Amino acid sequence: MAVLLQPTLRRGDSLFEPEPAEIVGHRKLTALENLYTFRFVNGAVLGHSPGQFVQAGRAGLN
Amino acid sequence: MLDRILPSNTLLELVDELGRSRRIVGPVRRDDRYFYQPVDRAAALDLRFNYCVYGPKAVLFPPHDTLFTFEKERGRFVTRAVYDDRPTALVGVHPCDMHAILLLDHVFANGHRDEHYLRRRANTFILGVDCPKPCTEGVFCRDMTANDAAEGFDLMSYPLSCEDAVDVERYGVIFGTDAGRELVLSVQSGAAPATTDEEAFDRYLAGKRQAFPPMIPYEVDTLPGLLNRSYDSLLWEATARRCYSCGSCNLSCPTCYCFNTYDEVDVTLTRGERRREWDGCQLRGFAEVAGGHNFRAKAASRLRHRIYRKAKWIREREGLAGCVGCARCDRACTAKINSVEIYRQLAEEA
Repeated sequence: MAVLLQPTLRRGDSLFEPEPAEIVGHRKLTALENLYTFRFVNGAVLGHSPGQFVQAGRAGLN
Repeated sequence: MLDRILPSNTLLELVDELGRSRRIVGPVRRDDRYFYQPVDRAAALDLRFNYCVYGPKAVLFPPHDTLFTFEKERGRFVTRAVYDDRPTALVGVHPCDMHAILLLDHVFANGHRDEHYLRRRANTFILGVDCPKPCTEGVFCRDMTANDAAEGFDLMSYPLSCEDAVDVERYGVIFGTDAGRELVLSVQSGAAPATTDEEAFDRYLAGKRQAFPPMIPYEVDTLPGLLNRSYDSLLWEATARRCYSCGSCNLSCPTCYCFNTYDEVDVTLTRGERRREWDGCQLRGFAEVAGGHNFRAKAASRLRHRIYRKAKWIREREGLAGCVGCARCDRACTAKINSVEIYRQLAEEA
């Protein structure tokens, strides 16, 4: 069952419009994996559940 | 019970009336096949079509769709959602495709509401055309309980033959919404059904019940249980050996709603748009995730996934038909994989 993110993150009607975030940390974990830490520009908290996927992307690189 | 009796030319007049304020999309003949496509007048449509190669899904949920644009402003990307709000009249929807639309309505309205679909749907008037007999060989819409539609349309029309002139058709019409009722009454043509019309409609429905023989030797409600017992069947591997993983079954299916997203960027790299496009679970890369792992790497597991999804999971979870029995997948398959044969063989094994 899909779990909805906090409504405060929804800027408009479109489910697909992303919320701007900044990369505030980066650490290389393995040869393949990097750990990035993001923070929403508006200070919102994601409020996601363990195991829930969150899609992050940069415009133009999706 | 019918709400109105309309001569066939009046039905076309209704479509032209719709065309005053909406774009018209309906079945158009190209060589020996039909496609839903925009027309500028009702006369360009052929409402006696057998089936359209692609379902009406392509109108409500286009193969390519822009979700939002983005542009770099003062060092940050600004996004703007894009919606298609064009008023549209979708003409010539058969009952099976109406069931498919009901599933899409449910999926895109629940959980994560998809306003891109829902706005387009809200602006779409649907005029259905019932099928007095199977539209072509191999369909199993009756087995999937999808050869009659009771909701989702604005108007549903039933092609009743005119008893005193066989080559002239008249339609019995049922109102699905107030918009449908107002449209019919606005043209001030046709008539309220008489007793003889209702009797003709009863004969039509009786003839229709006879015209759709069962194709699968059990009730559709038993399919989930049957599939429960068939997860490890050798049939998946044996059948999937013929599969080219081309995804034609997915692309032609009126209930497949999986999609992928991608960005199109202009040469300055400062603006672009995010789009979605249809995806398909039979394509080899569909279930490939970061790191290269593919959790359905084998064609057999992809085939099983598709059949389970169509006949078990969606029906169990949503209570709606995941497969409407239109057999577009079977006709589109380059390897002649046939879903009815799969259902029959599973029943023999069980």
